[in-house]
Amino acid sequence: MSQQAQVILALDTSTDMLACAVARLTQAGDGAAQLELLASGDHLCRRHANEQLASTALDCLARAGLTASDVSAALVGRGPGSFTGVRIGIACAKGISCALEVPCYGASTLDAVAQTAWLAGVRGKLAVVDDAMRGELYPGVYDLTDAGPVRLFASESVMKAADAAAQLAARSDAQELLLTGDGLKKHQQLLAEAGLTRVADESLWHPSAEGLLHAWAQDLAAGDQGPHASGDPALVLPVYTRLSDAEETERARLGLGKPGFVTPSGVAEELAGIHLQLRPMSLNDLEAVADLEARVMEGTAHQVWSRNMFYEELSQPGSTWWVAHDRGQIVGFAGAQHTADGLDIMDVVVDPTRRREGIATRLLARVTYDGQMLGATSATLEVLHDNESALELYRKLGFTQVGLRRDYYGPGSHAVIMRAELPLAVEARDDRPDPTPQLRPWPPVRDGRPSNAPQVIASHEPLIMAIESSCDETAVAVIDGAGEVLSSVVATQIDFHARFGGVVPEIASRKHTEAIVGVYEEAMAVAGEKLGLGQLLPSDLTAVAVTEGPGLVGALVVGVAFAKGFAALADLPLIGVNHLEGHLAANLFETPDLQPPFVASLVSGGNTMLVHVRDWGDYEILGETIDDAVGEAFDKVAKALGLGYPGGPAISKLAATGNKKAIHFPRAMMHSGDYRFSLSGLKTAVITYIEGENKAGRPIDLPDLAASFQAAVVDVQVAKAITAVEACGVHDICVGGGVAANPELRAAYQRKFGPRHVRVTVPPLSVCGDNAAMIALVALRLYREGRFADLSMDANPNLRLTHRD
Amino acid sequence: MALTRTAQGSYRSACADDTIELGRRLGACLQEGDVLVLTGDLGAGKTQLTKGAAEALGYDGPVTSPTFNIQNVYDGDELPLYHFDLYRLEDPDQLGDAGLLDALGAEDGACLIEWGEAFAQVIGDERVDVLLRRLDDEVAAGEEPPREIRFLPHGARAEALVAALDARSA
Repeated sequence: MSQQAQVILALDTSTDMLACAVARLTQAGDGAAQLELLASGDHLCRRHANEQLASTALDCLARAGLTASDVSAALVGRGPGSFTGVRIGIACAKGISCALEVPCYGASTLDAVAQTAWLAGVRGKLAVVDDAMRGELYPGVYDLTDAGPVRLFASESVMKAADAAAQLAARSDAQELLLTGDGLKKHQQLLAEAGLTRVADESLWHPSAEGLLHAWAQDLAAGDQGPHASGDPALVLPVYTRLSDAEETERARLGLGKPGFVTPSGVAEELAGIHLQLRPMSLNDLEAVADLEARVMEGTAHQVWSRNMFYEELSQPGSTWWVAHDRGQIVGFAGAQHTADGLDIMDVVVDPTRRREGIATRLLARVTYDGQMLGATSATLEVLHDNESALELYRKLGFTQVGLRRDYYGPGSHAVIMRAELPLAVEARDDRPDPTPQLRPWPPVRDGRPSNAPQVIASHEPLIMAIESSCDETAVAVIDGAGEVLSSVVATQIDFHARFGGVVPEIASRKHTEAIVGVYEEAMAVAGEKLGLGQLLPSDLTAVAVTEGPGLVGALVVGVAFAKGFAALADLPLIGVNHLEGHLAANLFETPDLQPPFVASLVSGGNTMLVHVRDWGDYEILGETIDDAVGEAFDKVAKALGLGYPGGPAISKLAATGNKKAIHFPRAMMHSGDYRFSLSGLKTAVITYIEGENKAGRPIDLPDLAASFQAAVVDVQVAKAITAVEACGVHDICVGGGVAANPELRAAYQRKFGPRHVRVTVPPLSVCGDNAAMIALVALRLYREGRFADLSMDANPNLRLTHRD
Repeated sequence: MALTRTAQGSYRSACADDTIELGRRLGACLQEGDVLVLTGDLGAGKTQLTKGAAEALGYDGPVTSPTFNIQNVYDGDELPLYHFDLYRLEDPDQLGDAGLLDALGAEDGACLIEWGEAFAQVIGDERVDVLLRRLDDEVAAGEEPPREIRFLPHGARAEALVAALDARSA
């Protein structure tokens, strides 16, 4: 094989260092790689990585005398480090990779720090201690030989600073260890007290982009790149070393014997119309799990596990067990144990009447995902040699036979030992909300396009791609110049948040990072199909838009970093969109000729406000809630009734058959003479009522309660809207936000405004929740007005609707 | 304007502008790593105090309680101000996922935390508790009452911060 030169754009934002460089990699036939650094832009940027990363990348390219089209691959530091920092780098690298349709690779940030020291001439034993915040460190020991750094540990881990110090000090080579890493900034004294006093020069404590490039080149030469060897940007994910706190606590609770807080009553699922869900196994499930195990395993060569055996397993640290449940019944479960060698899958069982529904695959996806988050890179399992259907399933998921234990399950019953690299080859499916990375060739293969493609594209310009990631939906849409939405893809994470009773910010940020490439690709594919071109290409686009705020900061950051990496390298203008303005614009999908001025009511889990839309882009907030948002009140009341999350659909379904006059709840601030709302008192009144009835031993009529609560909310919303419409002298009222999907609220607006000759617009149900089509609609207007953002735009969690640049 | 210091670390504010002014003085004293827990009923002035502090740190955008988003960041010229509203959290386990522990651990800005009193143990021993109270008894019904705002320091840095604030108001 002849020598191949590649231009690599490398970046790492896991620490306070914004590491960014462009290098030429020449790979000889024997695998040996030669790196030539062309330009570097490393600088400390404390918390401002998202503002500076995209422009630093462009600057490095320019200084190297290259353009975007010269870049053959993106390389990113996968951490460990600050979770948000790592995600900024990874999302930006994914954006770059998608825009240029080049591979995206990842390497360990700890390795990069070790290489940085090695490149500076350090030799001997090196202990990297990177800051994990919360008084914790990511430790890793290396032997810096003349040939390069050699890892002396299996996988990245996190531990208390004191424990890390003790572990390092207990090593026989403790006296030789030279310390480096940004954890020294806080913990140098603690490490010194443990006897670790040799410290590298402070200029080496952070990873350099050159160090990252060498770390990757070393992996490449060793043929050891892990799951992202394919260059598929969807597969490059952060090294977290721990689950989110919510999940960690949940596991601890499940193991500690505290009752699980999810009772599989099935009531909420029935109401919400959601069936077949997954959640971690809890102690409450043990009976049902042991029953199912007995039913399935009885009479087979397998040992039948008892309730106590499951209890023991569940209590093990590093164990992960999931159940699939449907209408209150456990229909399957799977579990695994994380060990130093990887993930050991212990049991996979599915109800015989529920086979061929993909339940085992979904369970395995969850179990192995947990394992991966805990640091496992492979999974192993044993299966009976003649269990053809199981063997076939595992093969399909990427497992291959690595061994055979003769007579393991008894004479003549052998155990086939199978192993797979993580993540498993789970296909993404439309009928399932789980955002999973898809496995397919990367860079994508582009078939020939029809010859009229340039004319088709030209006739639809401007073509704008919009990205939304402000809360718990990852969404991408493409809109054309005529305002037609060519595609709108939404990956919801609700399944991952439901059992915690609300959106968990850290989980939301993780899921966006996992889902964004797949959602982007699907949006481009659907839009391309619609234009008869097969697939839309980055070069077909005119601009890239993204939700700038308001929202969860960690969630917004993922969309913004992806959009900026994409826009910068595709050389497309960037447009920042206000999420709330998107909800207002969603009304155009129902009433295309809607013209300001009008009054709009924004009601969602995070907002409750009345807005006077004087013109598009010119808004006056007439009033908003002083405490809870309407959606939040629905969720809290649903929680108090044990109806699960989200509360809106469950309550409105119950309310449909209830008497709304059965119980009188307060209409807070109904006569306050302004447009402010208060939901906190109503929520308290409902909870007080429930407690009172419970104490009195009276059964609660759920439909009546739901209808009465809902009526109290709707009455105030509609009354204030009527006053606002009259005061502003407008003839249109619009509703936006997730709660706009509530049937009673929609009906009440029609009922009350119809006789007043005020036109009521309520967005179609499909765009009431968060989506990117509404973002695209606003972006199209901003594009026409020439209002672009520059590459320094950052996520703004507290962006106001009235904010103007 | 009638912002008065009534005792060590104790203030009386006659109106929202007074509370904002006290916030400005507070902001001028803030350093990296400072943590303040604001406690008071709705409308007691927690957000106004935060608004003033953000202003003093060179941030001129809007300041509102991040009830749903939990965390706002005001990136002023001087120092980032992390504004947390823990109202919708129910369990200390949720603090990490909400970004609070990272902001506390990063120590690169100041943290103002609303509805944080339930989580004092996790927030830590080095902090200033700020108690805001509406003095409703002192005015007729329907009138806007004055506020009492007290700063209770925990730890050496917190004491220095409250002393610096007092010195600005002497």
